[in-house]
Amino acid sequence: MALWWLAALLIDSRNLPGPGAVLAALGEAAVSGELHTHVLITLARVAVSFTLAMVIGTAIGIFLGRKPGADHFFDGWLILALNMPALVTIILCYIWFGLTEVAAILAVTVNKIPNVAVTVREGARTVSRELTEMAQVYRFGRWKTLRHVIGPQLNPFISASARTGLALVWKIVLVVELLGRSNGVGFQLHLFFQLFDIASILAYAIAFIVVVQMIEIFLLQPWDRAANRWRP
Amino acid sequence: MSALNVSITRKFYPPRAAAAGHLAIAGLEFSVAESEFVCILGPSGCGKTTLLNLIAGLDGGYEGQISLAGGIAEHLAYVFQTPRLLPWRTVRENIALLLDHGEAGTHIVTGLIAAVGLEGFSDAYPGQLSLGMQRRAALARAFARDPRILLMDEPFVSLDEAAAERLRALLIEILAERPTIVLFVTHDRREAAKLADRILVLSGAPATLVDEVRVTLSPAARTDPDRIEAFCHKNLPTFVPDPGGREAANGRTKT
Repeated sequence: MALWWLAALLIDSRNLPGPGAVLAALGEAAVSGELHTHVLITLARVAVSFTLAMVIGTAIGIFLGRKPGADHFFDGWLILALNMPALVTIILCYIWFGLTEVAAILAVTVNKIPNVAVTVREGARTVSRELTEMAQVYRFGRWKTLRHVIGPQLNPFISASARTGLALVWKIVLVVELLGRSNGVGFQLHLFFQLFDIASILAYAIAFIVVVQMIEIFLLQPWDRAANRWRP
Repeated sequence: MSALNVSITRKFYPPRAAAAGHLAIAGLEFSVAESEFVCILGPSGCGKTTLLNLIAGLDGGYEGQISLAGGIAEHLAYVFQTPRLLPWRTVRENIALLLDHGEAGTHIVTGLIAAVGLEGFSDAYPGQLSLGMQRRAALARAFARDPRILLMDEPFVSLDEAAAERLRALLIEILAERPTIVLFVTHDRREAAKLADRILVLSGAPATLVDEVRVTLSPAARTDPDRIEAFCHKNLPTFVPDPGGREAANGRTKT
């Protein structure tokens, strides 16, 4: 913070505004209600595409991890999907489905699914055979086995992909907004870029990072603690 | 009319990556009557666990036939060589998972936990318990199934003798109230003589039946180490224990 302030003071340029200017921009945006509106819209997009990607990616991961045959077949496709540049997916989605909300969400979700699938697959591969046999003998059935036997073993993997996933998703959401939406933090950043309003760009960035930190502290960490309560 | 008929012509494990294939069981036939306690005594690695897995229906790849009298398969419980409790569920939850929710189920779980002497530990996670206590919980879980047949794979191995003795007494006590067919795998001939109505002696790989011994000792005689020793000496061969650690203590390694 002090370093930033000192650097801004020395350079004294509009390319690197000091903390004071950024704070002022932040306050201005907050008072006008703009910050609020755009951050909420972006968060909604993040929430929807993150949830979709986690659910679909986890399902694919479990399936591939449990069925070596299918895994062998789809492995190449997964690598392909994993390395598809995010920008290509976004552009293709916008071209094919138009500059719509659905296209935006779809682009983000498709970007994230392979990461989740690959991580969860590693977990599903190492599921304990002994416990699965136990569940079979005691006739747990599919749902009980998934919830009480397999799920908890996948938890560290799901948690890891949720962490990296959240970071990836919100960054991609900004790009998607920049390219084809008329609201959200990404759109605002684009606007400020054209105006060379660096103080506002930094203000929005800070606001959003704070929000994501909140999600980490108040959602992900408590969930992790609850899931790991049993560890001695 | 026997409750369980086993007739396995051949159980072969095909070769896999590093391991060569081997014949686990060949020409094994026996039957077990209702509420009979049968010990299966044999040397290490002779296919005893394989036999229980086949009876439990965990492995369908064999030649032969295993038939359970009507309704028994639905009430089958299996106490594994390691407790195989879910480490992320409490003792109570581990047992309750086998039962319907609701008051009746809760009542049964409480009763079972008391029966194995784990009152006060029902909300503990398995990792917080000693191995002996985990084995008690696994026993309680097995009885939550309301079993008509109970498969036990060296369930008291790697406990000190006093703890194993207490668990054997507990098992006898529970069984007195709920007559159940028990197939109890062990390499310890004294344990077999203490518990069984009948002992099936198996030879090493592939497993085949070499002898069948009926235990006629009275309940009092079974608690007398000298008489057990004498009975074993006269009737049963000795076997070295299974090398421990084939299943890791927490049930998380793959075998």
